[in-house]
Amino acid sequence: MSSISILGFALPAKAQLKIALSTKIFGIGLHTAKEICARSGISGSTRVQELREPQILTLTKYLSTMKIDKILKDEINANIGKKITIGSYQGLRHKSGFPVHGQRTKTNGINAKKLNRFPRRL
Amino acid sequence: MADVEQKRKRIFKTYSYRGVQLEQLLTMTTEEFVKIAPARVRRRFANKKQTISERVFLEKLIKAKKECVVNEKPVPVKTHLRNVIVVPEMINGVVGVYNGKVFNNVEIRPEMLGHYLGEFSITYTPVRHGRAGATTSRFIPLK
Repeated sequence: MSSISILGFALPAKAQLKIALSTKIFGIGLHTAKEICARSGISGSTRVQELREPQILTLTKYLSTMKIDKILKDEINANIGKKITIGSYQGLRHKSGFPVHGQRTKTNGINAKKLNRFPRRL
Repeated sequence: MADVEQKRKRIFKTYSYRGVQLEQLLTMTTEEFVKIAPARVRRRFANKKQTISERVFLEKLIKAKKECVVNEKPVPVKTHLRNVIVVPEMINGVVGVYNGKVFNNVEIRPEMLGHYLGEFSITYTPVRHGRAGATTSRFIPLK
């Protein structure tokens, strides 16, 4: 598997650009990936290895302005952290790893136990 | 070393609520605050008139803030009103929020804007598993 690096993200060379973007970058789904392609004037079905140098440059330029990966993860954790530091009920639920929005805990709530830890692993 | 200290000072964040700086927030009236608040808060203030008890509570809190000695916390204002939204006038006040049994003292900070008072006073005791139960066979050393 060869991969091409765009802004530090290793995109699989043979994948379509829209798929590569949406699967490899945190914060970009298929919808946003299509939007990025359209805005930078590249067809989403282009294979990553077929991208030309100026196209990669425009992509990099566009991606660097977006709130993705590390920045986004930090923001999510900061938002949860704020709720914990002000001592609100939601913060308490986050801290103790329970569902936040009033779901039952007699059964279920397994996802919450996995995810609602602070700092949240993303 | 001096460089490090300078950097640390720069990192120190000032709080802003929805793009409004803290200094401006402190002098804000409730009406101004509602305009920049999220939809939940706007709907609440548009649909529900301020009740007498709410007004009395707010007046008491502002009075307590004014009368407090410098560098000391103001006197807590006890209230049963858990559904009151935190507005800029309450910042730096201390509220005793009733949880059905006792009044939990809450210091209102700017980060709490737009939250309900009830969020800061938990109404139940969180469950603790496996602590000092008589039924458990574990050995618990006496202190």
